[in-house]
Amino acid sequence: MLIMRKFEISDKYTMADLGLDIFGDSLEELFICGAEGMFDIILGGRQVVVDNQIEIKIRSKSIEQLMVDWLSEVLYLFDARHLIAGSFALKINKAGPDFLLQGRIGTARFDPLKDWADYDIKAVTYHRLRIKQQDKMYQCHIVFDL
Amino acid sequence: MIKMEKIGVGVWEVPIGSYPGMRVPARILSSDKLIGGIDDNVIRQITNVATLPGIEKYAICMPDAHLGYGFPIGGVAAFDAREGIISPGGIGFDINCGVRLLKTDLMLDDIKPFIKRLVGRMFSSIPSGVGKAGIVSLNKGQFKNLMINGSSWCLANGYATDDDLVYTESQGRIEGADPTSVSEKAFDRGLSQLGTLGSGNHYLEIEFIGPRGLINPELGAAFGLRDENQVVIAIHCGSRGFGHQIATDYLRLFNQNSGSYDFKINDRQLTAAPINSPDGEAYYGAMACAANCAFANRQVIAWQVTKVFERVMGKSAMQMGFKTIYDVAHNIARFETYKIDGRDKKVLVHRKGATRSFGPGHKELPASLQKTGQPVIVGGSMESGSALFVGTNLAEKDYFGSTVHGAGRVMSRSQAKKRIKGDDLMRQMARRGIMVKTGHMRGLAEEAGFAYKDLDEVSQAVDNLGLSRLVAKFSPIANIKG
Repeated sequence: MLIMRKFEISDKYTMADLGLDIFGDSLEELFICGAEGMFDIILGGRQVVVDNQIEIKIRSKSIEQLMVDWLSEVLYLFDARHLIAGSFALKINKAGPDFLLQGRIGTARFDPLKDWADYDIKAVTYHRLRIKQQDKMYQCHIVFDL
Repeated sequence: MIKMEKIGVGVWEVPIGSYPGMRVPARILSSDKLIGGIDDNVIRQITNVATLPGIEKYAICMPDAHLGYGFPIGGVAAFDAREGIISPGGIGFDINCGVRLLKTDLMLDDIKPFIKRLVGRMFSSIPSGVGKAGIVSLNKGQFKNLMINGSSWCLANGYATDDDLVYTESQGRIEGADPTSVSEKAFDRGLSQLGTLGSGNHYLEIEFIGPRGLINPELGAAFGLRDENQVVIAIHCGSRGFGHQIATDYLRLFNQNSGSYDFKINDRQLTAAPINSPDGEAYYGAMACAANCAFANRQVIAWQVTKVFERVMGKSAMQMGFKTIYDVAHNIARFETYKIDGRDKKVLVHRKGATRSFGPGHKELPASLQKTGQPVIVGGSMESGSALFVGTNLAEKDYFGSTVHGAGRVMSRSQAKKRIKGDDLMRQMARRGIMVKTGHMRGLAEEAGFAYKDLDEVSQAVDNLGLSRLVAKFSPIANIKG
């Protein structure tokens, strides 16, 4: 089965760094595409085999903030614990005034002494960040500081 | 097209009223050649900065300015220390990214026979790239101590000399560091990274004073620079994942609490908190922790560079004339005092991709720099090398003691990669006598010289404006990149 890649690496809104155009039929898919795209930048498209699962729960005030918090969380797992997020089972719901992301991510270990990464992403930015829905498709552009 | 008015040689202004909410004008410092290359979005960013509460005089764009997040890179703004704000976007994710310049008494011919070994040893003993642990292992208590004491921790633990601290901005230690304001995540990211170069545009470079590169021999001599072909070493890096996480944490906090502050900001990346508020004070305390770790990071790398030279060259650091010329921060906020409207006023100066430029006689400078002013190190591209300037009294009087930090990008990463492949660039540079060691060949193409502004043009603009005075220009012989 052909799986459509739902992110494109882009630098249309940044001079020094890289961003992603991401798409999803649902918010969950949009968020997963964000994480997959981020690791595509970091690992230069290399695929990984997951061998562990991590529970995840993030609560944020807005859907855009949730996107930044989600990507920052998986970036933290990579930078501090050398875990690559490679598979995802997420659910996003409204929780009162907030948005709540819950689920599991499958992880693979990154060995800095053996594995090479293309880019060191410093952080997820809010630059030109907006999540919009058009023709039942969610879209977002997100920029990373490299 | 944004309307700017030229008000002097190299000075353009966007007056108050050009955009809603501007409290002060925006000043764009440039040259007739460089001004055309400034993106409208950069001007929009600096006019946004001009709306922030407590801003003094004007929001400033330096001649190397390019698009950033919130603030432009090459942005400077000073805020009243009582009524003003503090903004993580005005400092950047890489808190206290900066440059250290070491001089040696070695000449180009002395090191040429050893250059491959020097570069190989440095590449293997100074971790670069993604995820590698640093030169120094710390436990959590030692890391807290490092956050508070910065380069003084290095001195106490044998990684620095007294002289190193004298020739580091703020002696490598910013007051007010508060580890209780640092998240567990930041601890986790930073704990193992002391003595790591990182990647992206960070580098370790062996350079020499190029042909006709000693522009001001008198000032050069004051810093130990005497001859063409004299070897220097430049180290460019910052606070690594520790600083990145602190910026991430406080951008989130400020955005979340923005409704409780009595001002509105129309860019989440520019979010700010009152300096005198629990949020603002906590960020300052955490930012100072990251700044201190960055000073220590460059110090430890410099220590390791010196060790490699000692081993490979078979001489002591003293015999080779190793000495720190200076270590400057170019992503930082510091409390400083300036004369504004005839009175001394304490302000929090934000420098985002901009360097402090204190002139002769400044009370914060050590006795040995009282006559010269503060050394300012400006990095160009890996093909153009670096330049050494000194600070000026004019920069203090007019521009909150600030100047440029580098050449500034003119081309995106993908555009650069379309023009050249990493291995082709490496071969071209080798033909010109520049050795490059990197683990990331595609990233190398992105850092090609043509992706940056012409350092000579930026240097000329800086000199003409009097932001700092050019002392020497250095050409690269070897470059290590993550």
